[in-house]
Amino acid sequence: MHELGLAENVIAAVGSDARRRGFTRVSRVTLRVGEWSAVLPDSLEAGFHLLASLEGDLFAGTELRIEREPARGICTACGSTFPAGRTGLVCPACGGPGRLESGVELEIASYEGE
Amino acid sequence: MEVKVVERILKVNDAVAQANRSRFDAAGVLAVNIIGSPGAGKTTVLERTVEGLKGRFALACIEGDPYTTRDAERIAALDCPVVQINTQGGCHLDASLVSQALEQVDLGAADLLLIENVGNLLCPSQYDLGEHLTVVVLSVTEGADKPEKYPAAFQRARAVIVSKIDALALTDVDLDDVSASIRRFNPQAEVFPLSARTGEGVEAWLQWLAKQVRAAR
Ligand SMILES: [Zn+2]
Repeated sequence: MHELGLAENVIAAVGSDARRRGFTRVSRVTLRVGEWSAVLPDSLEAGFHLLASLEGDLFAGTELRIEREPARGICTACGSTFPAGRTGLVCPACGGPGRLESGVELEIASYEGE
Repeated sequence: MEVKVVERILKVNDAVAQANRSRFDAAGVLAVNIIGSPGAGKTTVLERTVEGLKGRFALACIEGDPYTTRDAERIAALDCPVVQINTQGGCHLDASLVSQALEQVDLGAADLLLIENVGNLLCPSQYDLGEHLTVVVLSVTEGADKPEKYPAAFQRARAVIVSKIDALALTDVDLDDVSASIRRFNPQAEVFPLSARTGEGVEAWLQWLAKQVRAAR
């Protein structure tokens, strides 16, 4: 439900950066969204396109690319890294406690404009 | 032309949260963000916490609620200063809502600020309010698979309160399973099974929290 607010932040941040650079069109925005970020990519995308359509020429036809960052843990005992998606942060190699290395990202990675 | 940005989508929220945190630090107040599903028992846990600690520390509460002032009235009845935030249907508190509420909180006179978030395990996990620690309240009636479904919330928690253990016999849930499931997604989390109704387990939670408050002063 908060995806619309997130999309608003993306449009505002990219829009002001693009205007500052004198761009007249943003062709693509790339976001990095972690597997554990509590965000529905479809809702984020729908919100983005809705708000982009209200922004006029700058965001006309802008493509949104969402890169999903898998949840990965790193073991604090043996140092090995492992996917945490289904099994969680307990190290599959030694059973030690892991901490989250990636998976909660919610970032604007880049955009293309001219 | 490609422009590399790499900034948090919630950058503005994060900046306000940092400002809130600086205010808490300057005043020597420990700020706690309490999150959990609707009906997990957050307000009842808060009531027991206020009752248990108000003789030892100066407390203040911020109550987030979509529409009503019911929860705030329950806290006010305990003679604890409380500020109500209505999100008008919004699904989470954010740092600026807390910042506005702080205008009505005497931080200089408080040791512990308890912030009850809106009942939801999804969105609140993304918004830093400037708190020092997050506590998730999970009731046994919600089942043991909540951490798997909402890893972001549990990942963020320093402590998880497993509430309503007086109702365990009515469920298929095993307390060890719940603890194991929490620790699978957050091996460092403190887990406090308790019943706010019978008082069982409440003291362990209060002692841990009191230790955190003393460390923040
Ligand atoms: Zn290991």
